Amino acid sequence: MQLTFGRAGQRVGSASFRLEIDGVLLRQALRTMPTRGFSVIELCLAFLILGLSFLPVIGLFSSSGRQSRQTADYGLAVTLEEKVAEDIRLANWENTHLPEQLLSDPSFTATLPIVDGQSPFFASIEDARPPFGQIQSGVDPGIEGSFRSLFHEVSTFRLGLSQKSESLATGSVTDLTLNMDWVDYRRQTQSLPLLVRLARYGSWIASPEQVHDREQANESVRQLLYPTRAGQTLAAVAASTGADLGVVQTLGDTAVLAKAVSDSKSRFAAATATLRSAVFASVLPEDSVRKQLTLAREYERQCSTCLVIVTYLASPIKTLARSFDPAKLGTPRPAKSTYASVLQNLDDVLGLFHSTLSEALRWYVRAYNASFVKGMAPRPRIRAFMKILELTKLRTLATNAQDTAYLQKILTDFERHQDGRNSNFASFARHELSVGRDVATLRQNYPLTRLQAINDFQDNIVSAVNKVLSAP
Amino acid sequence: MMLVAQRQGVAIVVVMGILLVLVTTGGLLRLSSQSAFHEVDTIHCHLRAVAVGEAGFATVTARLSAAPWELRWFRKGPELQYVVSAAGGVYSSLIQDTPASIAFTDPLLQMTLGNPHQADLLIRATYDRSTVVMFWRLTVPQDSLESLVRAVPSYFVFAPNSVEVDPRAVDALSGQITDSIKARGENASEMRGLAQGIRSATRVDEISSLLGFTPAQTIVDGVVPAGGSGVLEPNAPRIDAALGASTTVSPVAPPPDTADSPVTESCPLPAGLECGGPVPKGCENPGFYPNSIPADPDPDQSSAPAATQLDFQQCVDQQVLPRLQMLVTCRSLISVSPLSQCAALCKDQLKRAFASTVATEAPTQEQRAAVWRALGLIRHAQCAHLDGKDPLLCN
Repeated sequence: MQLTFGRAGQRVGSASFRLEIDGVLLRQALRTMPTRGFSVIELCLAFLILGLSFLPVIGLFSSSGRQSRQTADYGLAVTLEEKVAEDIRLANWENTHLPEQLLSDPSFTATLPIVDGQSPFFASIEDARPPFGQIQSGVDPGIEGSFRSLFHEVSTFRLGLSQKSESLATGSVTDLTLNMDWVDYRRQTQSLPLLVRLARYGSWIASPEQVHDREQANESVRQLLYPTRAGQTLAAVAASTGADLGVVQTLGDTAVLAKAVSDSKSRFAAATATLRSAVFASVLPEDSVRKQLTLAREYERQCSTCLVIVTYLASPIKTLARSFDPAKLGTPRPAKSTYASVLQNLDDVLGLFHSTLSEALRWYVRAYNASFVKGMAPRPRIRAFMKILELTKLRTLATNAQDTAYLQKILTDFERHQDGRNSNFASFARHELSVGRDVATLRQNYPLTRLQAINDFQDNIVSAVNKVLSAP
Repeated sequence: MMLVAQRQGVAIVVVMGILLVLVTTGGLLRLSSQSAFHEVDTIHCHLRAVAVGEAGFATVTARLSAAPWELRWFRKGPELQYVVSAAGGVYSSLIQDTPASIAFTDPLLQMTLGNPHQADLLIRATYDRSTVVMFWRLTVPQDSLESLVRAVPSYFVFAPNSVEVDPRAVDALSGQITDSIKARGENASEMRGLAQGIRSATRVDEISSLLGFTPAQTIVDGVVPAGGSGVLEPNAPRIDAALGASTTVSPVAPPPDTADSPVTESCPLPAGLECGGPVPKGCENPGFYPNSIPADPDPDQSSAPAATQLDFQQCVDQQVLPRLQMLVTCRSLISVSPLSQCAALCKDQLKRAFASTVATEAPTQEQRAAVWRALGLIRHAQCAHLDGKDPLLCN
């Protein structure tokens, strides 16, 4: 295409120019163009198409924007809810009283905005005020207006919590339903529920391993009481001598376990002596703390073994003390020499229980205190504290102490230390303090089986052994 | 005439073009926002699937915590459950006794990781289109005196999604976990020693030496220079190259201000420690660290001052503390100018310091601990700066 401009005497509009395109005069070309004016229609048509097509295109943009906002809200809800769920799971592990605390505190169950520190799960998020290093509820801020964009993003988010307990074949769980709701861009309320299941922990005392298998236990009883009747079952021996199998089993179990305690004493002593030497031989502080913890744990194991035996024997001992009838051992009776010596030493188990309990407590305390100076990792240290707490509770109750001063002291110190650092631990300590405010309340909240067993054993051991050994 | 021909439909073409661009942009935006939503939803589903698995875990631990170990419901063999509803999803689980317990020489590990009351739990949880497979090794510490009994997870891992709820698959996984725990136990004491060294290390290259690798590139310790440059720099060390044992050393030319000093440099070492000399009486204890005292290579030993009787405090004051001061000086000196004569002198001094410090007798436990700390530091510095080649110290 060639454009030619030039003066030619012909006027195009008011200008006196000549415009040629490919040698054809523009004016002539315009005059001869058959579609003159079509461009207006064409433009109208184009604008119509543009206008009509714009609606879905705008819709596309708009829906994309909506979806982005929805995604942002949804993502926030997922993140915030997951944060709370994780907090709760961890808190349940650290604080065994958590389900009760959640239930009893209405601020946990009410649906509250997460901003301005209204929801307890978002009460304080920023360590903004001294003392730094501790986020203190009520002192440090939650999501406040000063956090402009964050506050704006989550200002409509509210968190609620409901719970229900469920019993299992053994044990129970608590189902918490977290419900995060928020107002979306259409001013409609959206919600996102999340279920968090929390295990409830039980309390029981295992039976001594010597009696797990009744048949095996009967054989042990037979070997001890009727050493000459090899090859016969205890039931057959009892039947042949006219003995009451239940009474023979009671006496036999007591004797077998008394023998087990007697036999294990030297093993216990050797194990702890080795560990004690290791503690004193260790020179590096970290190593020393570790050895102290090992020793404490070994004492705890021994104490636990004694407690298991005491708990298992409490009832048979009581029966023997109250209603032992030698005639029920049949004729001929088992030789007294087979069980006399072991029964005479049965009260050792109680002594061993108390001494190992004290030793375990002592070494846990030493390790805990040493680790304070030498920098033990926080989690093991907390674990050591939990051990100290549990052993203190048991010792207070097992020795029939008059007060809970020591328990209260360690809990008060712990609560003070954790306040602002780990609110869950602080809350745990407060709960424990309320439980341990006096001996009666502590006893009421402690697993009854253990205490009852210790008391029964303590009350009846002497008379039971005397009765059995003095029987003709 | 071409212009005339082109004029027809030009506006429509332009409009169509605009529309095409707008539709494409809108479509892309919508696609990306849909994709973003999909991503968030996928994360949501994954987290929900984990929550389903956690719910299954809570159920199992609650059951385990409610009855003595000998009465556990899976004592007769693996217990499988399929498609149990929980937390809006479903899970299948398998629990069984841990096939083989591990024997540890460390008593504390034996009491915890070697506890005989252990179970392996595998949960395959599904929520919507997400599936996760989770594996726990649980320990029930029956010999504990806690008033509430809890099943303690001693090991957890997300297993590959290909692992099915099947005893054979769990056995295979369990074997791997057992090996891993065993390795952890075997490495524990070495790792504790290493951790102790790392705690006292202040530079990245010290840590890398302790860990036994050399980063491929120069490590920049981003410390604000003395006097202040006016520019805020990160105060944490930065490692430019990926760390790994297989990285190769690239020689880096020292900058001019840290190049090796001339031979005539003066060494800022504390006076009186240039030679090891005999250990003063009162500081001797040949039996304290038998078979490990390196022979003193000092040829001038005979010309050393006569041995004098020292009590422990004097021993520490005169022998251990100056060596520690020297150690601090040497560490900075060697790291700045590793090939200088002064550094060589330091290395020699370090060897001597170790030799005489191990022979130091400490009557009380605390004092022995102090000496051992000193020994640890000296040994650490020696191994770090002697390229770990001293077989006596660094193996």
